[in-house]
Amino acid sequence: MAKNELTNGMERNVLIGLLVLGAVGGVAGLMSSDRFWFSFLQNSLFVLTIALGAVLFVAFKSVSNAGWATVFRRVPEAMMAYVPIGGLLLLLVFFGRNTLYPWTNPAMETHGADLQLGFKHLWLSTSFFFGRMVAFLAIWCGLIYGIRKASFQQDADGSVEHTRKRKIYSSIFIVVFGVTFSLASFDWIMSLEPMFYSTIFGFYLIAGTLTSSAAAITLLVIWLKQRGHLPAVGDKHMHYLGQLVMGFATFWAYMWISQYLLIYYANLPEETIYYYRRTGTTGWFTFFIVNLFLNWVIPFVMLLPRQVKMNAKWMVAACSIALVGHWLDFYTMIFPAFFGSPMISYVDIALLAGSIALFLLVFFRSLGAKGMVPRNDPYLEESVEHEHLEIVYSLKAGTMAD
Amino acid sequence: MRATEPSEKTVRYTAAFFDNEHDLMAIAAEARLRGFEIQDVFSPYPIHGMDRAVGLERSRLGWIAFAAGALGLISAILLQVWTSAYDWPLNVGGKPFNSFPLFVPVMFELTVLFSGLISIGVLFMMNRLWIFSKKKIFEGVTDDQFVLVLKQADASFDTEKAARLFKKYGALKVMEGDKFV
Repeated sequence: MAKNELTNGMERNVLIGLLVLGAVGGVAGLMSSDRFWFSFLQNSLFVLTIALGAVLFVAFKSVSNAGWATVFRRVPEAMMAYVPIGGLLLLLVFFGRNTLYPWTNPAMETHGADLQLGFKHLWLSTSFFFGRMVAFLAIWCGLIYGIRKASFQQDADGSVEHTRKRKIYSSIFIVVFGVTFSLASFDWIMSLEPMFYSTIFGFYLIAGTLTSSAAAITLLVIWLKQRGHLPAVGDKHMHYLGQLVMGFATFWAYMWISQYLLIYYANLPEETIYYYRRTGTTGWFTFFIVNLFLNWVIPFVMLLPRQVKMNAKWMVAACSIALVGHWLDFYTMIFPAFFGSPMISYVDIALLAGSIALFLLVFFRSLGAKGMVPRNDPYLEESVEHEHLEIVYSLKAGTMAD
Repeated sequence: MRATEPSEKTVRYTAAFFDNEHDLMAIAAEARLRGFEIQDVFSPYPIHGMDRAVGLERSRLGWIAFAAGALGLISAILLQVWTSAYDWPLNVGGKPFNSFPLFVPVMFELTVLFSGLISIGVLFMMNRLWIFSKKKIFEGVTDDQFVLVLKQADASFDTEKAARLFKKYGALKVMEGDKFV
């Protein structure tokens, strides 16, 4: 039984309906469409990276002793709860490996690419590939469990020890994630085109992950605040979140140009093929440019003024654009490898709706199960603005339910 | 925080010293409510929400930073297109002379450089805290003191009322003076 009812019956029904729609569309796509596995990979990664970005958000905050986000920390903590479920879903890719990954085909040599594979041959073997996948997901889930548990235990006993523990887990997570996520992105996305490689690919994805999760946190915080669930969130928090979205979007653009520029400069066939496929046809080139605009140009320009960051409507618009951009980013990473022209079919829509619905259902369930505010966190007072201190005091005294 | 208007040569003022930001923020808000005119506030570090408490209008510095950044961006484009495509075209690695992607790093750098340097320069000019300035402000405001400065615009300034207000918020020290900053 949930402690807080965050969604009313109708909203929950809509979410469940979307989830069913996703499942039905997915099954139909699996039967009849050659796009299913690509779309499945894209949408699973889209939602999973948002959840992983939320872990990074909390971990960065914890490691840097930043107090400002404490008051809404339960939001990213609830987003993390999706990682085990999203990870299990992603493992289903095992059944689509022959469609997705050309290196699973023993006859790949015959495609004129005798794969200067060598090392890649060993690296991209089915058992090692999925072994790594399970290991990465398991490590992430373990650390997420540690971070979340310490946070909830602090609610109960108020010991500062848990803050220290979270910091240790967070430090480990950041270091481990940097390496494992880089490798995971090489595996899951880059190996769709096994001849292509770019060493910055992982960091490019981490940049997108950070942007989209900051945007998703902002959207969820705004939604919860407007429902009255987070009364102590004020202008300061919206301002900082807006700065994060804008900063990470710029970081994404920096990574984007870093990857593009070096490949453009060096002009090596096995590298340029990646951009050739994405800019060679009018259809994909349009997506290529739109992707750049949605992920960086529009959010950056929109979020420049200070007032905009504190204006809920503008923030919702900017963050939604950044999220659409993140989805499109995966689209232009995955699909051009196999399809000559861009197209969006019912499979994509159904799977997108289903993944988002599943994510939100897990999110609301996890958020509702525990207190909305980490009431015993030593940084709680620091995180709220002066005028909201009363709320925090009454939370601590237990005179107000959260 | 913003300094005084350059046109004002002498101003009679009362300054109250506090030892924390919360008192300063609260007294600034209350002083404004009670009709005092705030000359300025000083703190060792920027305090969030202080601009609202003092009633500052929005800073124009953002526009200057934006304009400076745009100037840097345009300069970078002009500089590179002119040098590498018109004035002295050089074939580098078989790329077209006018290779836009190659110009991006310099465009980025000049945008940041212009925007950063010009806004810092303008900031110092606007608040008259030029690096070579020998002006002394208050003892300890760069260390651990938080100072509220009330302007005594005319004879209507109620010294008693001000003293009561200072006492309420536990001022450590109160001083009066002329020719502020």
